[in-house]
Amino acid sequence: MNRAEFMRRLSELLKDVPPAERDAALQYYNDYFDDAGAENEGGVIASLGTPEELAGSIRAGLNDGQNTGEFTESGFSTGAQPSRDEVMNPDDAAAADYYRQTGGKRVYGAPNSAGNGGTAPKKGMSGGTIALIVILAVVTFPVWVGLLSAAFGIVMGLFATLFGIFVAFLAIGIALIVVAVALFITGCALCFTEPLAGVCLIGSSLIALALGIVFLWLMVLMIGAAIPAFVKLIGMLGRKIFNRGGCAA
Amino acid sequence: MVFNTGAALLDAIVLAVVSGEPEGTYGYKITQEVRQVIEISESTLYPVLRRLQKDACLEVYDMECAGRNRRYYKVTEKGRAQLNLYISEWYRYSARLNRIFEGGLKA
Repeated sequence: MNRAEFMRRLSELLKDVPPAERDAALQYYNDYFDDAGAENEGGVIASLGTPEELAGSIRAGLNDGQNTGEFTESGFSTGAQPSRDEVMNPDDAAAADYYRQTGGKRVYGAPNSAGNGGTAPKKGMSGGTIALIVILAVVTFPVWVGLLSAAFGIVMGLFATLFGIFVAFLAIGIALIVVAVALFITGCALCFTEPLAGVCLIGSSLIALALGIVFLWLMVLMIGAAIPAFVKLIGMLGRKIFNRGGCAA
Repeated sequence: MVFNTGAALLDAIVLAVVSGEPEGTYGYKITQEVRQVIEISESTLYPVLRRLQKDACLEVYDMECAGRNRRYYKVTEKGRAQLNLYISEWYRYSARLNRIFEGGLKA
């Protein structure tokens, strides 16, 4: 492929770009060939790549700003790279200062103390919204204090009930075992005088022992299952109340 | 070359090369001068020149030379300001890197 063929092909490939852009690009490469001299024609064609590649590079350069591609020494790359800093108006000294401050800081990813309004990006609420929430929280003070007290009362009540059941089971279990031991001793003593009544008492003592063990076992079950569940419930309620409080504060 | 030359640095290099010629210079010469310092393909510079021209950092004019029109590029006031910005940023940047490298050698 010689220079004329190369330029003809390039012109064809750029048919659909705006005429001004196409003419500018064609003139640039015409100049380029002229300035390189006829003796370097082959070298220039080889280093420019195919007309298709060159047209792609010219075309990609037209819509800069829209696509995120970038020209580097290795040509045009469309990887997701940070966009180039905008060219600034030299009259705008403030903008230049801002660029220096932010430009320096952005490199290290440090928080931007200069400018930018100073609002943390994760807080999506405006000042008005926050003020409104504070006012609402103050106005509805009696309501939510009442609700909070009620919730606290219910939680404490539940806790007391569970604790009561736990203590009761423990007491019943211990009492039954004590009774069982007493009955067993009495039964053994009675066996010498009245064998029938004595055996009956020993049997009763075994039943009482079994019941006592059942109650103690229920108590252990409560410790193992009910208390963790209860703690989880308190945690959940607490989180809900805390969240509401966090919003109001 | 180990290090990549990003778009901003490429802009800075081109602006520096063009500003070295008060009367302006042309595409082929710019390309040859840039290619003396960094490895770039010959097709890379046209989009860069076009972009700088669009951003009003460069202005073009045609001048007759050896019986044909040649397009010349010249740095504008804005381009000069932009180049100064790039240069001062480059000094800050390279000074920081040098500090790190020299500190790293000491350790």
